[in-house]
Amino acid sequence: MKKIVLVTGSRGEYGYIRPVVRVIQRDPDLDYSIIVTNLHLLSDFGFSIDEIERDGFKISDRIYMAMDGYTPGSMSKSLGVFLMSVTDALLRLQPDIVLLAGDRGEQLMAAIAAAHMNIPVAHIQAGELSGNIDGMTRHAITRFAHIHFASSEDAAERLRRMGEQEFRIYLVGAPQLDELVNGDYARPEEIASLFGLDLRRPIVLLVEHPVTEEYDQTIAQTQETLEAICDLGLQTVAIFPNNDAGNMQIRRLLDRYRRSFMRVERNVPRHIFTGLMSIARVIVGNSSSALIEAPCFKLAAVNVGTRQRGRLRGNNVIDVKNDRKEIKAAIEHALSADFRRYLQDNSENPYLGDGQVSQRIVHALKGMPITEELLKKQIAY
Amino acid sequence: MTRELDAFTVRVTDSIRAAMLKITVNRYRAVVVLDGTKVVGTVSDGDIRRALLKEVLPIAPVEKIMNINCRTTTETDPEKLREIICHERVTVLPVVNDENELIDVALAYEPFVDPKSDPEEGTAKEG
Repeated sequence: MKKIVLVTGSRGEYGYIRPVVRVIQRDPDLDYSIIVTNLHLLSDFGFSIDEIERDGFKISDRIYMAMDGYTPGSMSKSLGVFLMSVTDALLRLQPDIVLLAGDRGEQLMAAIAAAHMNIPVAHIQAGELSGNIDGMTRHAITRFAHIHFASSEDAAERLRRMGEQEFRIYLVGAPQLDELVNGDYARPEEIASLFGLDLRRPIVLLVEHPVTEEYDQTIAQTQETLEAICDLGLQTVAIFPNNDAGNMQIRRLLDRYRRSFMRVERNVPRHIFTGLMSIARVIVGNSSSALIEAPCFKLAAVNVGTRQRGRLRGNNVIDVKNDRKEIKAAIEHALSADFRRYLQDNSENPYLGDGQVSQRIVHALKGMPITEELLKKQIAY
Repeated sequence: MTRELDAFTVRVTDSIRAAMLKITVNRYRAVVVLDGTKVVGTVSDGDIRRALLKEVLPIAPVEKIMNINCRTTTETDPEKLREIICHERVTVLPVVNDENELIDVALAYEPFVDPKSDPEEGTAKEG
């Protein structure tokens, strides 16, 4: 029986792995456990570990790593704490495979630990382009990973060009789309009740994360977005950012700018978040969900700033600078009847998702022989 | 509808213990959390219980555990406020202006008062 260990430290990448874990759970030839860390364990971010427990998954370790202060320096130190702790966990768990996802620092630490311990590393959402430190982290994980699961041909080609051997690259699609394709998200009435929303009027979903390289501009950038939101006065649901450096400034601003038409939440379970996407008329901010998940709902996205620079995107995305006038104009354009009609007729998701992506990932992991060829990486160029 | 608001509010920097004391005194199982005059959340005895079970210390600020997706209203008509309270199933409903500043709290019911209880000692029945 193969034992797979997964690591999750953020809401986004939990969305990547949840459908995969569900498939693993049903397979009698596979065992698994999840190491839960970072944001999931923090009260400030709504204890999202509760959702993992409610999903009935096996959690082997809860590793606290986040140092308060949330500066670039504290982020780096926190990763050091996690590297030491995850090494101990892997020594104890002795997995056959470590399955990682996305582009967060704790995933890179787990990749470094596992690769040094001769444990094969598989990486979901490999090869994509994304802005800032996350993009660098994703490609650093690639260097330590033995198997790459790509969500698009664009990502697979990038992996080849990075010198990864062909046999390591699986073009499978984006597993986080499985649940959406299969209609596994909260119904509109439930969402409306939860947030006190009027479904007859436009709903704005706001998710703005800090950009690590632009830490010193966090306040100014967020103010631009919130000024535009307040100027429009539409029903808005804002979700707290992740816990990267700068998050405290954004949280403070959300408190300061909060108006009677705004609802703010620390964290929402995955099916509630995707349910919100299903009823929103526009998603605003810089979350990757605006690029990857939103097209499934033909949801217009106003992507602000540089965080998603270079990332593959569909025609639902309107890119704008951190400028209140640009943001406001883009939201108004996104809400216009013309743009809605255009999306209804033309919107396609550039990320592959047919509801079977998790099956393909698990099938590949299950059938993969753990050989010397797999473990000893060679760069093709 | 106007009440002595102090018994129903804590500051965002106040401790969980301070919120527990306020709830014990006001007997409505919840308090509103303010940042200056703005409503930024509510804390109920359930929020506190869940936090303590997760080993959050009572000296931690309420900000760590408050419900930031709390229901507020700009409505002031008593009948409509009662409807909202019943629909939302809350005991303390912050009434705010357009700037989200607290102007009043609407309450779900008249608290049960046990004449033998001493709120300061935390023995009040809270329903």
